[in-house]
Amino acid sequence: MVLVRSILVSGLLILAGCSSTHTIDTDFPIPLIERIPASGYLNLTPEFQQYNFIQDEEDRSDMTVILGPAQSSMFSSISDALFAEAAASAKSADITLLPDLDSYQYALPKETGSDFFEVWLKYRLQALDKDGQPIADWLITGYGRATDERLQTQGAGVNEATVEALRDIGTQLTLGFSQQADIRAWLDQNSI
Amino acid sequence: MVRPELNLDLRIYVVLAVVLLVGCSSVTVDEMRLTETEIDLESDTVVVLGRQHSPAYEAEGDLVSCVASQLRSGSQGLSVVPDEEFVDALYPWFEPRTAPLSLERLENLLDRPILQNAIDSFAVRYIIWIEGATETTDSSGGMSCTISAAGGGCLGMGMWEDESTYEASIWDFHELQEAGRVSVDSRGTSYMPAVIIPIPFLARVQTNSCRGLGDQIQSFIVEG
Repeated sequence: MVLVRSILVSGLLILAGCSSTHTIDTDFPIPLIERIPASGYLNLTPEFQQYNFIQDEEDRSDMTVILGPAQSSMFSSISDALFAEAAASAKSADITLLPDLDSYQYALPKETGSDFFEVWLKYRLQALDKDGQPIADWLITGYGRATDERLQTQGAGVNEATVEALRDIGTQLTLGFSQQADIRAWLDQNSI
Repeated sequence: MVRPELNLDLRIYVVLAVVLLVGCSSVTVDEMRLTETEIDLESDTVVVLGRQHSPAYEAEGDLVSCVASQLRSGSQGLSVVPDEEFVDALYPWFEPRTAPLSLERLENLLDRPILQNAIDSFAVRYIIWIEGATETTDSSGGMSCTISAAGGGCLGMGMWEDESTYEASIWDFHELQEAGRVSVDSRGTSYMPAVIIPIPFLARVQTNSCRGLGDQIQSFIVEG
């Protein structure tokens, strides 16, 4: 009996130390900006909506971050706020947005010796016109930081830092969309 | 039936235990007033926000929430808008990279009617920005713990010193000027002896800072 308990306790400790799964859980606010007088469509691929970041490098603890639903929610909020009208399909939209996650990186307090969980997200965002022709194609990097507070779990820290990074992407996208050179040129060209 | 002298002994031990459970700490609060303040406790609100533009100034989220709770308490309790509600409603204008660091910048933001209307809907009279942190400045001692199928336990003694420094800048949203600043410095030593079970005697440095800061900001605003 003692042997079974030892094995169970050891097993649980090893499992807890070696792998973890965190679901990024948040509701994104609708940005408070003036809408572009055009119709927009957000093309979220199934891979994007179901994306999980899986950390399996040998020198770091295994970690899975379920990011798909959260990043989809963020881009939906942004798209709703950017355009005066939401189009039902890419063919009926003035502009179609096609986001793709380029990279997800994180740093834990125990790795850096700092008091923060940190997350970097890099997205590639393509904007296409009605005919599917590219209007713009650019990379956006977001950064999020969460204070490592006492008794806070790793999951809570990673979640908070990732949400901050997503919000940072949303901030840059909403405030910078019309200022992006190719988008600006296209808006001017179409008298929008 | 407990004998009277035994009851007295028990009370002394309980008082001693309570005193020991709270580590030693000290708090210093300073205030700098720049303008008179006034608030209608029935209709005006305040919002407490943590600075996040740099790790060096970033106040902890639980400290910001604690100060907000402290401002709501007592007979002169203020109506405080929850920070998350305010920041979400004004997204993305109060994010770490966009939050106004100066009143001039806030004034520029308010040129946008969409923002002005959103802030007006909260009836905000004062925006209180908090920056600072609580840090462990020194630690000593040691403790070793073992766990086995038959049980576990710890043996040793640890102690550490925490220091916190926070400053609150109070912006008058109606007059668009800084009303004043309140700062708090707190320090304390915590102990954790362990004989089988570790028993922490915590100096509640951050909590003491929160109370000092909250009470002082409340009187600063209400008593003008």
